[in-house]
Amino acid sequence: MRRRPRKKSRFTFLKFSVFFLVLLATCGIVLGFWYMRFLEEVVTAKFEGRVWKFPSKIYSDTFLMYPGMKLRSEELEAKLLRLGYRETDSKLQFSGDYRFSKKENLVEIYLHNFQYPLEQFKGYPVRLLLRSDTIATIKNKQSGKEIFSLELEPELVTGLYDRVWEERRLVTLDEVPPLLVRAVLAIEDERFYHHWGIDPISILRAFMANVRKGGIVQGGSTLTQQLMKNFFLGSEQTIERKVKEALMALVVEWKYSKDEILENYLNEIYLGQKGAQGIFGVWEASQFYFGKELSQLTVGEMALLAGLIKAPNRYSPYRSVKTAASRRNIVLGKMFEDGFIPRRQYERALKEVLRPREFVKVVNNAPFYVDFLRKELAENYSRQVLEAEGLKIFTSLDLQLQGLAEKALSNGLKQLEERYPHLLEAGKKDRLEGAIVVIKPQTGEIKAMVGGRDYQKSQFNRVVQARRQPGSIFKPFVYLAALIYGSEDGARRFTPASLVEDSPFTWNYEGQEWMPENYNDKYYGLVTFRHALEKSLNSATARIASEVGIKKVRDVAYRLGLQGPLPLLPSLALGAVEVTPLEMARAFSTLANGGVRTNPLAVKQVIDQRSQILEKRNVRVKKVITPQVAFMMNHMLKGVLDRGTGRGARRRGFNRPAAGKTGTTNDTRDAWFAGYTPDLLAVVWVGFDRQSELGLTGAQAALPIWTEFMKQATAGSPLTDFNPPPGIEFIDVDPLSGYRATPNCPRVVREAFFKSEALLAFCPLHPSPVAVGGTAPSGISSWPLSHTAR
Amino acid sequence: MGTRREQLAGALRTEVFCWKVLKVLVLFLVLAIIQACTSRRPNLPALSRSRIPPRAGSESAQTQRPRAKPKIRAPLPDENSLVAKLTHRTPPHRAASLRLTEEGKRLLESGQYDKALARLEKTLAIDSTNPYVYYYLAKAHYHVGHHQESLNFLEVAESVLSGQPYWLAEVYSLKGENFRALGFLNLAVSNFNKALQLNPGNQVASNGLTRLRREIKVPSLR
Repeated sequence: MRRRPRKKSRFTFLKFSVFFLVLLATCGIVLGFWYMRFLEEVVTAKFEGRVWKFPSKIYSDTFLMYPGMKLRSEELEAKLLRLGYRETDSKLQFSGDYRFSKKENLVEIYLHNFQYPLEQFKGYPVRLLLRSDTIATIKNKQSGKEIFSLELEPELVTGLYDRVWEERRLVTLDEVPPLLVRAVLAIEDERFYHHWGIDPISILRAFMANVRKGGIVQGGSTLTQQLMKNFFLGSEQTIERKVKEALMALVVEWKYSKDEILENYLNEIYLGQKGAQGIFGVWEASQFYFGKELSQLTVGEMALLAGLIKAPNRYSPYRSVKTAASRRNIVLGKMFEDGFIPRRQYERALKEVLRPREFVKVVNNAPFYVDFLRKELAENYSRQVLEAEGLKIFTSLDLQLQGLAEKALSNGLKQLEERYPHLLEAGKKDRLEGAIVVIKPQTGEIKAMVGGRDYQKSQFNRVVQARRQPGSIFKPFVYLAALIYGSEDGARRFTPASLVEDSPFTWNYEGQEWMPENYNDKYYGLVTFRHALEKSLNSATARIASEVGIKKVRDVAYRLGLQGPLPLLPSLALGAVEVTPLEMARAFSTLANGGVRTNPLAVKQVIDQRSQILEKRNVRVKKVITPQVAFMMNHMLKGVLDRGTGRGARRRGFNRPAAGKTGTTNDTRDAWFAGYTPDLLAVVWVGFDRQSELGLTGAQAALPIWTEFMKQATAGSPLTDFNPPPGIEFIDVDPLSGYRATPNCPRVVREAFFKSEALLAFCPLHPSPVAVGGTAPSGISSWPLSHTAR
Repeated sequence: MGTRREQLAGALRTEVFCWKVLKVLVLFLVLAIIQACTSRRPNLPALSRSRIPPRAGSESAQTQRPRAKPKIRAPLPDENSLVAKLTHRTPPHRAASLRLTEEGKRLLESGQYDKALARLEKTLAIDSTNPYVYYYLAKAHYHVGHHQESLNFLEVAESVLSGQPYWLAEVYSLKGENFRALGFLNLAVSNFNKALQLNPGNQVASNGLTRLRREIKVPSLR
């Protein structure tokens, strides 16, 4: 009675177990199938969709050389190294080689190929003959022909990337030398063409080796597994990851050909680090380690590249030539063993000498400039596009000037803090800051931009984001308006020799009174326009503005390039308005450019990965004032540096013809200097972000920084002066009377006039029998007798 | 008799008529000769025929006023070659700049306008005092259809090339071309005329005027 139920129970249990197992197996198969389908989709998406992200790259401007140009060989060498050229002692063989011969005073460069926006430049060897820091001749070494200008490719400033900068250029399998492929297979997966993604034999061999050595010395991963790991999985050592890797490898092998997998592998692998840039793929590695195209690699170099895959930074020839060579030799041995290279080739490759070399890291030396570019680019390109589409962005940036500007600002601010300890006191809650922007007046190209003292601490770009009062650097617009329009009632024309009263003055404007005061309450009486501008006299300037009309002053400021709101108030004449340093730079560059306004230009061209031009920004010009008036203004502003508030520049050794204006706000919260030669303009601002009192003038705080920068930036460039346009006549003027100077005048200033307005009477203060006739200077009807007594 | 008198009167009338015809013919002949003599300078129809009204205060207003007969001048020698301007005294940056401008010019001639623009902009950066680069930049902009930008460069070129009649004529003729392209036919005519006054050999201006004459006549016939 008892047995039956037991038998029944066993049978039921067995049946149930079988059913359960079948169910479990079915579920397993369904789930497994579903999971494999899922993996397949993931793998397919990666293989067939966008596989890699290509950061967009920002390039500096190109570097043009020509015979007669001043160029120190050290400067050129530093430039070549930054561009990734490599020095060689022997004959130039490959693109990217260069050779300096001090004995022969020559430099030979095998120029790089470079994809410019409008052409693919094919590099060729050139020879530059140098004579006392000057390029004497440039010759094409291949044709022997003389070249009259030579352009070096732009420097890579930085990449725009998400979190990791993966530097990679895709190649097809056909473009990879077969021997390099064999080297990789020999050392990484010699049974690649014989397995299905997982290689049990390799795993077993690795297991045995690891057991023998008592630790992990060999891996059994196939090349496909490595690719899967790099594509989808991290580097954590877990069973789960290993299983996933193996399953994915099987899926990939089932779905794609061996060549497709190999091609992806050669483009994917990590092969080293160049500062912020990770070097990925064999093409990029070939460029990084040897500066060569793949087709130019020697057997030894190919073996080294293959050897690097295991541990790129440990075996890097940049780290240790000895370690790199021994790793290379292991790969060569394996290649010889597997019959990929004959003995002779093997022995020759072993003898290849690996020279110790250094690389120049790509460090973003222009972070504020790059931020500015990002903002400009954001108008047309999304962040995703910029970080993944591999655009090439060509800019106006000059990295040499950028470096000089950074250095001048940082040193200058430091020196100010040392010299004026109160700045450090104030700096406890509000650190002393500064900004500098450099523009090429003729083109509007922004050559350098430093938006603050330390980008790491504050990314606030004061060149474009800080709206501050310009103070006296606004004054030239008043004088310009006077020279252009004359007095508001049309009764009088003004010239640089016109006289103006500098004394306490009240301006009644629309029912309100405004009383400008001079710096230190010092007044000079009747002075020429030049004198008032050179000494930055507030009262005299306000008087001129009142005669000309504040609307005209505002009109001139807008015409020159200011863009922000400018209130129609008398205080506008003394710069009581908020502007950015970039706006001021634009306005002053119009003067430097003879009255021709340009648009600030940072981004010049944008091209995509197929070298199609997406965007092109040209130099844009507009003549806004006559060259004669611009020249007269420049001539007056030269006096600021030679005699006026900017004479400190001369004391500090900057002796080129240059014009400029100091600027200090009434409450000394902002110090400015805007100055320029005919070919280069720089505007410097110094102050505190939270508007603490600086207690220094533009001449004390901003001018030294400007001078230091300009001294370095213009060294070696041709000496140029502002050329007087036709219609300008120079006359020697007595600055005391504003009349044409006589031989008896103790001080004489050469003044520029319109030819039609140059008829001046001779100085009544210092009469001479040989000098009679002419008319009174504009601005006054007769000479005040009281003035003669001064 | 009556018939005879009538015949005589008829003959007299015929004679008078013939004389009149002859006089008119002679007058026409004289006029034709005068016109033939002056036909070297294009004699355009009245500018008011253009469908585009002249701008107030524009240069075209001046062209409508009676003007003194311009002197016929000989064409100026071609100064087109910039490399020919190089001497051993030319400063290196100017020499490089002139050569690059010449290169830009060649690119323009071969129709590579964008490349020419890039090259010429570079040239401008090396030597801002090279006056010719402004003209060629204007020309490059003209070719890529940036007429306003081209006119802006020509404004600058006009200032920096003053005193060089050959080049000023080039500037005015290109201005004329730009105005024509923008539809300001009156301004185009006045600029072509200015160019021809400076250099009667300026082909662009004379061709431009001929073309304009055709363009202006067509609407007037409708």
